[in-house]
Amino acid sequence: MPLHIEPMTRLALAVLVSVLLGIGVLIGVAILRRWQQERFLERARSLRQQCWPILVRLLGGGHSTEDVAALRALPLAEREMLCEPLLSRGHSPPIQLATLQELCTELGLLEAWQRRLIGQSETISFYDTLTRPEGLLHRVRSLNFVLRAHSARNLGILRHQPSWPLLVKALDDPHPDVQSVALRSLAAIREPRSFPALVERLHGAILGHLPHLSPGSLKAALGSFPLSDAVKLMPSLRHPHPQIRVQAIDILREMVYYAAAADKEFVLETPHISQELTNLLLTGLNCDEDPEVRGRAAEVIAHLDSAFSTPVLCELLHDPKWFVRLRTVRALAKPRYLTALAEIRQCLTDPHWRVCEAAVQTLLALRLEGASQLLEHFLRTRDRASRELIIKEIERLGFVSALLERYGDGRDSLENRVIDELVNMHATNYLFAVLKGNRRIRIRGMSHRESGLPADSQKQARSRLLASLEADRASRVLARAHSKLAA
Amino acid sequence: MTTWRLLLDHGLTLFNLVIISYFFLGNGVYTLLMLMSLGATWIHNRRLAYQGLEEIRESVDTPPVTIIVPAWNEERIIVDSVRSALKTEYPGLRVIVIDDGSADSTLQRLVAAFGLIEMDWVYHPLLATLPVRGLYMNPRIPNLLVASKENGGKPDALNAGINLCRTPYFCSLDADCILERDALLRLMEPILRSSVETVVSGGIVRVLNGCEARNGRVVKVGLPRTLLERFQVVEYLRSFLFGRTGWDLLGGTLIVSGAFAVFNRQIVMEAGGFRSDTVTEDMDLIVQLHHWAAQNNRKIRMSFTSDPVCWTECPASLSMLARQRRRWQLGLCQTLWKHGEMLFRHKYGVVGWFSFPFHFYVEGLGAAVEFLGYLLVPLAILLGSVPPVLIVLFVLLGFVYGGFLSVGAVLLEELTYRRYPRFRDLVTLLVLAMLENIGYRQLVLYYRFQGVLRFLTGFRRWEKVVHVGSSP
Repeated sequence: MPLHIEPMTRLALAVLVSVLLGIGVLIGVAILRRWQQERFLERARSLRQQCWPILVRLLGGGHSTEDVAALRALPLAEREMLCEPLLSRGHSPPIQLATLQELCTELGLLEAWQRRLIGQSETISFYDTLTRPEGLLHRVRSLNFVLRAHSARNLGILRHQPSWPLLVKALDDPHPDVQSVALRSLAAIREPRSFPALVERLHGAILGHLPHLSPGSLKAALGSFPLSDAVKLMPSLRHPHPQIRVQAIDILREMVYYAAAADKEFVLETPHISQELTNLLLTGLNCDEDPEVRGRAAEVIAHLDSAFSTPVLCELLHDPKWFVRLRTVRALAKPRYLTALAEIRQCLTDPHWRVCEAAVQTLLALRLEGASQLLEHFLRTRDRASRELIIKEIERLGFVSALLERYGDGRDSLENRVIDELVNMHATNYLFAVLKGNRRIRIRGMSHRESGLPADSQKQARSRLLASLEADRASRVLARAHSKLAA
Repeated sequence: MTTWRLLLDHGLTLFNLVIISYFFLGNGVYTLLMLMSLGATWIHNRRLAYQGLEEIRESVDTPPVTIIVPAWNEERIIVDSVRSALKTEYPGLRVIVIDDGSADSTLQRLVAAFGLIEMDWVYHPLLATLPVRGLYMNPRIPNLLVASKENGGKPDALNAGINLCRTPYFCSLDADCILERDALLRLMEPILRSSVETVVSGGIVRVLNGCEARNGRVVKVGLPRTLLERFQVVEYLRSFLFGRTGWDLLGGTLIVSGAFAVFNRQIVMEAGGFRSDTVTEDMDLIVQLHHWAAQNNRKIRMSFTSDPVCWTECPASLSMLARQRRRWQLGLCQTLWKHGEMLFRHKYGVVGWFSFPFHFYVEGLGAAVEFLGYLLVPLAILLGSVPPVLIVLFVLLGFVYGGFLSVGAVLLEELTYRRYPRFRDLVTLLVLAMLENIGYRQLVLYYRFQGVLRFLTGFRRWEKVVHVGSSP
């Protein structure tokens, strides 16, 4: 099996020389690139030093033709470079946004971005292609999508209302990046006239006509529109395709979520929502054949200002699908549903543990009335899993500390019985830590009453409790040691 | 005697052919990966400007993620690591620390630093693990949970974390790592925006040595002082920037660093969680997930993105480097051997036809072939089987080609993320990229060969790498 020495030597030599040349090129490019970048940064720094005072003046509201003219005299790329940091700061407050919009219009940037978005990129010289960081993007057509997407993003950051038709058009761009950025920008602009176009695309995406736009992104975009646009979802909510109904109700759910997050007292009533939509929620979507629709509808119904919402939600607590019951019991965690306490309490014995867990959390969120129901259940039930869940939640929320604060009057109060039961169950680690460390743990989202008990009697009761806890721990340590020895 | 000599000659010639094919195949694929990554990473870097992380951060639809930190004898850094993890920007972030039966005061330090209380919760394992001794939390820090369990190794600790995790995704994070503030958002981006179900998303791991870290954040990036650590900087760049990016582009991801990666919890559980029968549980899980997808006819994606950054300490001494590399090689061999049936199997697609055979032949066997090459080539010269000129040329070519690939990785860093800001750092990295192949590569090869030997002799113990450098 002889090796062909000569051709191999020649091949090795040729590869060696080529690789050495390759290394030289790579090192050259790396150093050139660093040099170019340093130069670019230097230019950006000097430009900022030179023009920043003008920019600050303009942004501060001091409009001057000379200032604008001075900035307009700069090449487009430098004007962009100057404004880029202002756009990168994320969502600016509205007043600043209007000024920024005006500035970008006067500097011709908005026009340039709009042109780029529709594919009319400016031609640049060969020198600029090599020296500007984004030079190649202008020159190479297949890389042009970065500029289009960047322009769509800038129009969205500026919330430029007049650009919405261009952004809707960009949803049909051949590159998916441009489509998704245009979608996000439309969501930021929230122009009501763009809503139907987005709904139409949502239908297309679900029915498989639009492969690049995902229903999830379209749903997220539509969900950021104000509730006043919710009525336009009516055809989708009544659509025969279940997936379209699911997405539509989810959009409505998101709209409500954002509205409720902005206003703690938020209630879904007439100015926000039409009577027709309310009726559909209470008499149609709550009994939709698709459980996903029913579950999401429950979350919206919980915000409705209607006398019918409580009975409808109570009915949904008996839904055959566990995730509908889960969503419903979670949605009931609002003080206005204190009237449904008995129904929520029934969920503590639900066959699905996640519904039970949600019921525990909801009851604890319903202040002392809810907590009392929960503790009563804890004392009565013999179901181990249910008890474990309750212990977990009351410890997680620090509620045990509140119980301890009311412990010790010697009577048969609920708090005393719960603590005694915890001791009986050997669930004493937390109690011990609180008593021993004298920790005062505030309960999140719950104000508890002062105990009003004589300090001495309480002190004695706690000392007794601590002694029994210590005894319990000692016996457990002993038991653990025994089992280790046995093992 | 003549027959023996003839047999030896033929044997050596055959071996030389193996080395030559190994050289051309290995370097050919690496060059392909480098060229692909150069384009893809450059474009990806430009696309970051309109990535829209704010939307992910503010959306009600963003799924919560749990960071699982397995810790064993990490008392020196654990508190800072957990603080760093808690500071990570992400909506609905939870952190679970699993103290894997530490013999030092890892648990006590956590309890003291975060005011933790032992809870009376019952641990219900869905994935089998060793018993959990206690669960700790502080109601004021509701997104932090610490579990103390009996020592069962990293995979067991990770499985305990998965059992306790309640979110649809979890991120495994080594206790000695520092995450960049937005790293998790960036890591979740491909999961949330991909049209194919992305079950794993990995990010880049960069070398912390030489950087300045304050309050769980890297505040100044620089090169380490010693040559050994500096070589590892180049090595990490090469491995992550073009190795993993390239395989990701081909759809043949076989390795995602478990030091920092996000996984789909449900699918990981269906695939059986992390296994303890290899010492690289992260690679084993990835291969296991490929199996799972093929068996269940599911189209899944495993993504690697080079912009979410996790900083980690690399070994600063030869003994620690040896431990690390021996373990990596041993784990690689164990995993490839365990899943050997994937080799050239149609149902595994790119992984079965390309990625798995490449890892098997070049990364797995390659260590032994290259190491033996250094021993047998001089023998071939002595016996006159191959002319010395050709041997010298090939050895030279090996050094130079390695340098070419490393310089390519440095260029890729320069064209994209440029984390080392000083010009001096760039020059140093370029010089190191050239020098790395003389001495350091052979040293690492020696450790890798030891790993292969350990695999052959059935050794399977985990060797812990102790860091002594900068803490988070």
